[in-house]
Amino acid sequence: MVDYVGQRVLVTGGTRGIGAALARAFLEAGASVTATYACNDEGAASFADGFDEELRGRLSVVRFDVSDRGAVEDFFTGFEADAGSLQVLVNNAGIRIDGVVALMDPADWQRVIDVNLTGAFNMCRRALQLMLPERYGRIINVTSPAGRIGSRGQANYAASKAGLVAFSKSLAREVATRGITVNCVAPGFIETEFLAGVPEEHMARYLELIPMGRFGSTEEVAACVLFLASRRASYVTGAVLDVTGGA
Amino acid sequence: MTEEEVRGKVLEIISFIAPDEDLSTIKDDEPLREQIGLDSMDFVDIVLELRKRHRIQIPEEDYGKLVSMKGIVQYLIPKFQAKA
Repeated sequence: MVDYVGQRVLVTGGTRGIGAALARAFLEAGASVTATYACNDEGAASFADGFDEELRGRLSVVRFDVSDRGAVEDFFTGFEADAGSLQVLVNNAGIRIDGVVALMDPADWQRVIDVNLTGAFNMCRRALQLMLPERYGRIINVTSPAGRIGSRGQANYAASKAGLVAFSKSLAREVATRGITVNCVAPGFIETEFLAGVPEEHMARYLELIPMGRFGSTEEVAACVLFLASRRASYVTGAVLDVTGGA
Repeated sequence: MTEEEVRGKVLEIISFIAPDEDLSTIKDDEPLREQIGLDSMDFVDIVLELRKRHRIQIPEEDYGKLVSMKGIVQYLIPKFQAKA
């Protein structure tokens, strides 16, 4: 198991789904974790309550919208005063508002871009101020195979994820000489509530497309993030790791 | 803190960020980045190093004032004096 004792980790969208599994995995590896969420107070509270005292002592749960640059600034001002340093940032916060392009509400297009892509930009831009002076940092952006191959009814989501890949690769080049790596993890079909809204007949079709013939678990995604965010992954940057069961 | 002392602090940081550059020939009235090889990321490093070493905060809207050595020093003198 990789060791994160003494490290500070920030996971956006860290109270549900893949984010919650990431927060748990980092906590179990010894890190202090700040998990953010945008609106589900009840979900966030129940997430925090699910930990024993020792892990709960190293967890903070904070509410703000990553697409709101002012809120991001306010968060980091407080974070810097309390924590002082940041080793790992995981941009996992993401939303879907599906629809075909021909009928997509422009507001739905923009909202998905704002959260999934601009949110990551807002977080990275500010987090670099903590990472650059220390000449160390790990940024992991959670993307999707949809960003590479597209997805019917998800042009906004796919575009935001494709953008996030290009953003990650560009940022990786900018900070490469400063001990900061920037990588993407692209989970395929993972057992979370994100899949809950998908109709039964689509699920069967998806399974046929996956060579492993099953959906992935959040723990399987977390294992990949924990490697890339570790000190040991020091020569990996600008990469995209597909966690898709071969799809 | 005197102008000379502030200039010295700035040169200390620049030589840390860009150790291979010859800083002895810098002309104070000309843009710094035209005289020595500093790119945008080096500039960010310098601003963050000022914050780390000297607890001096430089708001982003003031970055445009940090062009020549003279401009940088004049900008920083009151900031250093406020800390003293």
